[in-house]
Amino acid sequence: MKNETRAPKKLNNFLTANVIACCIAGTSAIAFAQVANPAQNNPAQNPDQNNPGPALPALPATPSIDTVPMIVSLQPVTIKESYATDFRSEHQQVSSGWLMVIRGDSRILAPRALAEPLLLASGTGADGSVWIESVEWFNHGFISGYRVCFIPSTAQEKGGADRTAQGLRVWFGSPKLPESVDAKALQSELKEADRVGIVAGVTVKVEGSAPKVLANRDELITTTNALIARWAPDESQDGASTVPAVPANK
Amino acid sequence: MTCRPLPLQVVIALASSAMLSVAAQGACPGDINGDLRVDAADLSTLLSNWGGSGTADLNSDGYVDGADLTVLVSLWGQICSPPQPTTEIRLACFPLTIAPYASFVQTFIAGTTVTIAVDPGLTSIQVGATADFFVVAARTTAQWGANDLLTDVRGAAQPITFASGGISENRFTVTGGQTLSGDGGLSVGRGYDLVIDMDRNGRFSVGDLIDGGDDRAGLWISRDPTATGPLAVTTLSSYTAVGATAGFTLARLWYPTNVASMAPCPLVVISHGNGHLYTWYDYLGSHLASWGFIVISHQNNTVPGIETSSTTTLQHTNAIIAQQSTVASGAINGKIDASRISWIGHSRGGEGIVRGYDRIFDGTYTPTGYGLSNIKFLCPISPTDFLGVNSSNPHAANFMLLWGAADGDVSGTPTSSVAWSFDLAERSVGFRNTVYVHGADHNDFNCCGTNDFVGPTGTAILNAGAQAVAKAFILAGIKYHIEGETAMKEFMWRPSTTLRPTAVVATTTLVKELVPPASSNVKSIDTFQTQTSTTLSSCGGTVTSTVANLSEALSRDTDATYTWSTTNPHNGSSRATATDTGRMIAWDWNSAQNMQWAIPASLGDVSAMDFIEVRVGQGTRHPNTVTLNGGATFSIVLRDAAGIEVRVSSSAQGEAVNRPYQRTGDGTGTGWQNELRTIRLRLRDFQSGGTGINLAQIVAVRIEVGGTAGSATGRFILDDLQFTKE
Repeated sequence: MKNETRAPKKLNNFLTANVIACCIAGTSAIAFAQVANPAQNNPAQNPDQNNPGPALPALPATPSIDTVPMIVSLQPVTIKESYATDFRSEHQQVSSGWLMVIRGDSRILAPRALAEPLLLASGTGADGSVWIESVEWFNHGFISGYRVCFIPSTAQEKGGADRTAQGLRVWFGSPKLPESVDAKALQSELKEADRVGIVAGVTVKVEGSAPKVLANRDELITTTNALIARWAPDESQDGASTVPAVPANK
Repeated sequence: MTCRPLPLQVVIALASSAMLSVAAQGACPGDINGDLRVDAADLSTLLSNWGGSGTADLNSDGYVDGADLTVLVSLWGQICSPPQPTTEIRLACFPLTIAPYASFVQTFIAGTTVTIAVDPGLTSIQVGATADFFVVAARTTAQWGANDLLTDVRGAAQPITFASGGISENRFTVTGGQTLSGDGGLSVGRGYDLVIDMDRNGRFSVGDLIDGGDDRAGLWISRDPTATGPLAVTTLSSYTAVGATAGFTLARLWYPTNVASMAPCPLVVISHGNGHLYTWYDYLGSHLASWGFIVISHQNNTVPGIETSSTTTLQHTNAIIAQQSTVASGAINGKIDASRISWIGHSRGGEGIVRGYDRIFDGTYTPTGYGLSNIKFLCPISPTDFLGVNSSNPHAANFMLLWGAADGDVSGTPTSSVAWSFDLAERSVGFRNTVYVHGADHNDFNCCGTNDFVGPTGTAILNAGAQAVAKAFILAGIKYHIEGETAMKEFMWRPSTTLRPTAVVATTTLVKELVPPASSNVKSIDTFQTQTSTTLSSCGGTVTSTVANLSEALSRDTDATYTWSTTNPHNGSSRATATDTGRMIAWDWNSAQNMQWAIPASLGDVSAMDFIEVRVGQGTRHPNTVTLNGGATFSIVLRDAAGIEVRVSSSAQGEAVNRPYQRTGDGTGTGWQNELRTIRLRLRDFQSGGTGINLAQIVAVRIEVGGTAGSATGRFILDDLQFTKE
């Protein structure tokens, strides 16, 4: 099994930033990548109503080693007030996990109404077992190339072993609604990932410290919003900045 | 002695033969109590009112006195004849070049030519006679009873002279029709009644013809529903909804600037699709607010799926009602009419609003500040169908589906029923209509999504085209369902060739279905649901046919390709998952053929109905459809108990059954999914020219194709053959 994170073979035109790929060495490590200003890679959407934004690309088959995203940053997090994740049908309570930014294949990051590939993460538990989880994401990243995510850690509430980021794998699984995915489906995804050869990334030196402590999901959202504003500003939903207050239409 | 037959009591014979009485207005002088006799009862009334005023003031001098007694005595013993009826008929129409030569309608876009027609076969007009045609501000039945004076809004009546011949010889362009005002304030249009004053006495009187003598306006001049409404709009770029899922709390608000001086406004909630932003629907929010609605567009939790999307719709609806005293500094406080709510959703948000409605219906979610009955209108735009019949079901809600035929996302592909928006429409058991828009893609309905257009070069209608459609039809739907503007209904079924919002380009093909809910206004001939045999209709009548390859089955393409196959007779049908129940029939022809339904006697009296209608579409990629390569026509024949048969062409609606959108993919051949449109033929058309058919005793309905009846070849998908009332 190759210990390496694969970058997408076919980066889209927007993904030309000089990313230093980095992956995870330990549970408390923070992955960090120096990346060119993402705004430079974010062409403005065409304001011409007659020529709307970039074309919707066809969705490639997943899972595939060709579409494994690059981990740009990873931040362990603990959340004092747990919340129920919407990215699993069981809606487990979440009180820890990893904030993550990935850079991916625009064909997969493109938003779609139909089922999008699940974003999945797998690593090793404290007891050496392999865990898999449905990753939450907060933007799509089609224009910017960057997706802000959170890997929820749900094992403790189920009585399982503490999860670590050792041997972390992140990949795009089969197209499904995250809210429809349960533990059984995740195990199937894991088997399929193994079958197609998705492996953990190379270990690189990371900057790190203790887990970031957040009060609750609201604070998690505030944190992810800040990351979106940085990495995918086109998807920043600061509505107040997009429309002048109180315009009249006539 | 007989009193003068003054036209002061008007009995209106509706076209359907129903009779409608209008209040008496003293048709018989001296007859104070209205019993058509001048007798002791009237004298008693006069004496009891002595010195006062009122109906006993027979000489109208303001007093009941000896002069009135003199009048009464002079008329003593008179017996008056009952008043003669005036006739309620349809006059407003657009002309046809084929029989019945006029299609009678109500709604016209302001600025367009208005025509009236008189059918000599159904009226007693005298060739060579001249009458005065009046366009009068619309009156209710009671108002006509109170005021028979004809006042033409154009300043003067229009003389018309009847000619020998039929309808085509007795069509008249309404002078000044193009300048009739459609300004109805917050109503999209303004109503008028049309009167032909046969005796030219300037009053609505015996023998006159009227279109609109009932409470319905005979003519409705509609402003362009794509145009901005009469109200200035204030936009609050964003506010935070309390109680919404973290990360999905922002929403944008539009409201009439002068809302403080208005009655509470209906609420419209817009729920975006996956990967979309709540800031992408300004065109729609501003448009609806300018017509008198309070509108929000909210962040929508679509990535996990439909359940989460529905939750944010529900939460934001709760929140805006609860927070109206604080949002926008309280500008809308007390101004949200939470009893009249519309939900509009795009893509996953479209399925989300249906799911939200279903959750309330099922009792698994309890909203605050509103309930199921307060949601008056659901309008999904290009919705997904992830959850299926048990979870994404609009039940009996008023329902409108908008969908682009060039959608590259929720595409209608035969490979996945998740992409079948029509599923949701077919599940509706309420009032439903669909508008399938050729050349529109998924993200044309917002400002800023990806370009997912898939279709023939040169057919894209782009954002402007699709959004014009959305503005017009959503406004029409809301005004119809929320505010009772009945004339807006015609936008939902009439072809663009006869009724087109101004900003919708004339070359844009809109394929419309309208299906009313089961009620006393519907007499169903065949739903193709309860009887699975092709020789028996759902109403219990015998069905016979000479058509080829007849199949009645679930409306579902079963082989994951749109390539035509004889083993997949419902190829191209994308309207039912495997667990849905919607069935239709399909058949084809290469010569004169027909399918006939016997009508049981219990259903045979359709004299009170207005239309016979059917949903019909061409079978995509079928060799006959390919050969036809254009619009398909057919005829409907009615037969009465006396054996009189009358045939009317489907083209009497003004447009053929269109060729499927010429999109390729998902197999070989050209043509995308099967598109159904409602063809409604007015029953009156079967009487046109005095055919003599008895609509009270219809015994059979026949659809004819080929030969002189319609297109020489083709393949049809059909459903919901029925008689309906306006």
